[in-house]
Amino acid sequence: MAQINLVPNDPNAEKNYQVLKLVGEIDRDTVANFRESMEQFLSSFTLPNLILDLAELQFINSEGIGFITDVYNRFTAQNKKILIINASTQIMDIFNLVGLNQLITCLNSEEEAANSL
Amino acid sequence: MFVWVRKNLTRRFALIFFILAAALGGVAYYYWGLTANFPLYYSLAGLAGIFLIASLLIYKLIDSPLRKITKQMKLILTGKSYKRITTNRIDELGIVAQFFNEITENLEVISKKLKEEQRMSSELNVAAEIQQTILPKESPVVPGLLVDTKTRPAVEIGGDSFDYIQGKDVTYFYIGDVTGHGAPAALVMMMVNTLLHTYSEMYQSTYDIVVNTNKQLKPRIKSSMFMSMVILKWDHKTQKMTFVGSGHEYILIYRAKTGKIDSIKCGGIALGMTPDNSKIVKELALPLEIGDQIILYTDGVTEAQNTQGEMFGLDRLNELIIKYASEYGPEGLTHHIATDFSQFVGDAEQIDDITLMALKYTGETNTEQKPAIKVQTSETVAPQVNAN
Repeated sequence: MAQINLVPNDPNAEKNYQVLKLVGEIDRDTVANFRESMEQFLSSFTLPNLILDLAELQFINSEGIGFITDVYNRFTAQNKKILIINASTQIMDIFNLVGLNQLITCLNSEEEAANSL
Repeated sequence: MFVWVRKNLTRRFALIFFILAAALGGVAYYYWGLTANFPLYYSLAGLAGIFLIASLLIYKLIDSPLRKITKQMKLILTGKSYKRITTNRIDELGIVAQFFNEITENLEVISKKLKEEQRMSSELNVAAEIQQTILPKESPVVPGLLVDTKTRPAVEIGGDSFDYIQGKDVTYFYIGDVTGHGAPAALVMMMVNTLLHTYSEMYQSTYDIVVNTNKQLKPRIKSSMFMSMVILKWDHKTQKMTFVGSGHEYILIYRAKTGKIDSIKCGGIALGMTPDNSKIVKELALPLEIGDQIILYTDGVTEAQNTQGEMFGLDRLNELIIKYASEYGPEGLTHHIATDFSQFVGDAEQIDDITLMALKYTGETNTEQKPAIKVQTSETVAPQVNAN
């Protein structure tokens, strides 16, 4: 059965951001787990910038995208920023179709993301 | 020793009986001694006394507590409210009472769960009804165009919807997919359907319809929900097709001349994702030649898996369109794709709604005969196939 794990990197104090790696798949079976772990992570997240590293994310369904949109909306309301990096071509195709990349900037590396902050 | 006696009815009975009999015997011995030859009626009275003691013991030890238990049992059997049985007895009857308490407690948990499940399943039925109400029952008569849609909801209600909206000299066709399942998804598709119908009467451009629909939808739905959609507008007079994409799948166009497929990115952003989509969505032309067919689908089609876990995929869909589009019109095309699709997925569980809409530009403005095409809700219904 598919799994999803959240792996946070150490916060970057200089640029005020933290990278959160999403590892696995977000599908029908894992989406509830994803939402729960994400809420847990966010409850203790105080920095102004969050970078989601999707290099090791194999799949995301529309409910997963819906949840990320929800997080984006919450961040925007608090003047915080959320960025996506290293999404695979397949994942980018999905974001492209739905239009998520029109909301959240998707970049190719942590460096690019850090520079854009 | 005492616990050993308390644990068993017979031992308990024997002990009490023994004590009382000894007391009685003691009293008799005290008065008459061992050799006393007392009268017969004394013996009879003594015997009656022993019977009385035994009956009292049976009543106190067995009958009365058993009645307490059976009273509650009767209440359960007649469906009335019952109580826990309180006892500190540890013998057989104590065990029966404990068993009663334990079972009824589990019963309560189970019946609570059952009620919750009944409520949920009736909620799902509501969602299914909403979904059914907004689906058109027949394909419309449109000058120059034939259209047919096949849809099959998943066991659990998903979020697919489509509709044909007749305006003045124009017809709108849309297909959409709401995130998630159940009643919330059904309500979102209902809202979008209402808004599209309303705004199509107020505005001339599809762009305005979509922008305003999104504006009204966004504040009314959960932030994690959205609906991907593509809406086509067919102008009866000019016989031109335009579309506005809202983050849906590709628009596939079968070109009659070349027998090839153009995949057109739908573009835009899903409804409900952002409060204002006016800078993101666009109304674009979809140039068609006579004989061309447009195929719209939801991801339930492309993402369906067979029992081996293999995805149906866009490539397979394209192949099937090429295979059937030259020979069949929308009705036959969707029918054959649906049939091949069912064969592919086989016995695999259908986890998402699937919807397939096909439109063919025939150029025949005088459509006298009404293509009475029923919306097919299951693959078992085989529609008439007519080659156009």
